Amino acid sequence: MSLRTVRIGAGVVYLLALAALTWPVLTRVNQVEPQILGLPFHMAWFAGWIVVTFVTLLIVDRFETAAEEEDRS
Amino acid sequence: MERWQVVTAILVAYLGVTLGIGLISGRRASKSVTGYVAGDRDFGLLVMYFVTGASVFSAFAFLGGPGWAYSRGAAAFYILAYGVLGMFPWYWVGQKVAATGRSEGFVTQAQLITGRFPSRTLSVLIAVLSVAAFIPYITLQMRGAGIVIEAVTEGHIPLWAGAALAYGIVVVYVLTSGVAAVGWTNTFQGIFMVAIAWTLGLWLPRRIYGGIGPMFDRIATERPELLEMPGLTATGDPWSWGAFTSAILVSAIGISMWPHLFMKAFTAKDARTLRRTVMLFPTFQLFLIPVFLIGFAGVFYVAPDQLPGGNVDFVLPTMILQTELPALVVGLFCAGALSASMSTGDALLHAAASVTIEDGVAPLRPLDDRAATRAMRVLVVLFGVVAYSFAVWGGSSLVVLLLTSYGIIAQLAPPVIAALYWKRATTAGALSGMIAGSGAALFFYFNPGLRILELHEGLLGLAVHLVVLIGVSLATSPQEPDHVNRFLAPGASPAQPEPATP
Repeated sequence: MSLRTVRIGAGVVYLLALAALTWPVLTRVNQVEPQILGLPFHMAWFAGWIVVTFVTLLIVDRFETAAEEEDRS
Repeated sequence: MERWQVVTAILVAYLGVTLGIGLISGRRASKSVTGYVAGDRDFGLLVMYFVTGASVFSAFAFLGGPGWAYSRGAAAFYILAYGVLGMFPWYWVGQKVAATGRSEGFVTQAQLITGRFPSRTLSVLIAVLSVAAFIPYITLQMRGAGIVIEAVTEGHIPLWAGAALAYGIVVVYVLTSGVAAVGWTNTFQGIFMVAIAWTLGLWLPRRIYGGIGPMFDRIATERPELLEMPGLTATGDPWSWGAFTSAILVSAIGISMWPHLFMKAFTAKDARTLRRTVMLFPTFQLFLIPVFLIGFAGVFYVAPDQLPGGNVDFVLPTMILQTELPALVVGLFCAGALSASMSTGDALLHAAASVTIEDGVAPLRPLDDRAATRAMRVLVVLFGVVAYSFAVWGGSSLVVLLLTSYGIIAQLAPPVIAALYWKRATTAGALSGMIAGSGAALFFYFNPGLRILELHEGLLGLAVHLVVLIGVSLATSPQEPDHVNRFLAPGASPAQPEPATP
């Protein structure tokens, strides 16, 4: 995968997160059941998106760092 | 010895250790002129991680977060959303800020903005806005420290005295050792906070309700309105989606604009360290989960009339004190909450004073190093006193104070983004956008009834800001392409040696 693809992919994930964590999508996940690890569903929804963005940045960072090292050599 | 005396003794010991670390690290760093820079270079990723975390998570996370979960339920979830949404773009924007800083020699936000849009008025305006945003933020931290101390000592040391004690210490170490102290005390405090929050967040629901799931089952049955998004207002009525969503957006736009965080892009050792700090940021957001669990655990455990003055910010310390936890654990926990307040408060005081000197005074009247240092010390004390008087006599909850300051600081986002990404932006556009945006935010702050869809005043201000910035920029003549390229593609062409434009 090229750095450009990864960056565009990250941008898409960001837009999805932005939509997922604001009105109106939030009105669709406004429920307590099913509980996930004991958390009500909507609270787990927020936590889940935090994990998704973290993993996305982790992947992006791999590619950015690799590209940077390639530049240097 | 009574229980509260044991807890107080631990807090005093903790404050002593903090002061000690602050003073020792300052003495070490001040031996060389480049103490600050060298000190920063010492910071490996782990230290950098806790420095960022401790300065982002403040009394607000430890006291305001549980207070909101306890009294306003799902409304508190907005806090989970904005950190991630705000910091993600900073992974790239931050790098560009850093690159521009390197090629142009900027050290503050206003220098970056006025580098692209030369205007002394704009620089002073940015300094004024930053300080206006810092004051409620510092007030929040001070009141948090006072709340912890008042609760722990069962009122023997009231809020006003507790806040004065904790911030007396903060001011002393900011004055004697500057930024180096901020870095090292933050690390110490950061580790402390994370460990204790997770321990209590998992333990308390189990202890009181037999588990996290059973706790939420009971809330869903007996207080279903708390778990219905977007939660409740302070008075217990349903909150509106407009207010909830715009609180997220304003905070997300504002978070990376805080001068004390923004300037890290200029001081970070290299692009990689900066990127990694941003990358690890979401893990701090997860730290809010146990904090909220503590707040939710209080719903059936603490009656509102048990809180001093009915102030929900007291919910967490009140709960901790009611459990039969050993006094040692309670003491350590309260020290953690206190550290959350102080580790943010010191960074804020330092940044507020630096920004005032660098951006508010220096463009009008250049100061030599000694005069600048002296003026900074005076300002640290001055801002401390102003925030303290608000902390003691003001009335809003911690989260409300935070939201107000985010509305102000978010106004710095349009000129930063325009400076780095929009070639057609002009000085007249940036300046008039800033004036119109801040003016609109101020207007809606004082006229809450006129807000459309109950949107946050900061977001309404941003809407006006953008329209004016774009409109005026397009109506005025474009900037020189060479000048613009230094910001849109920093370091791309060899920098032309030019006389510095103040």
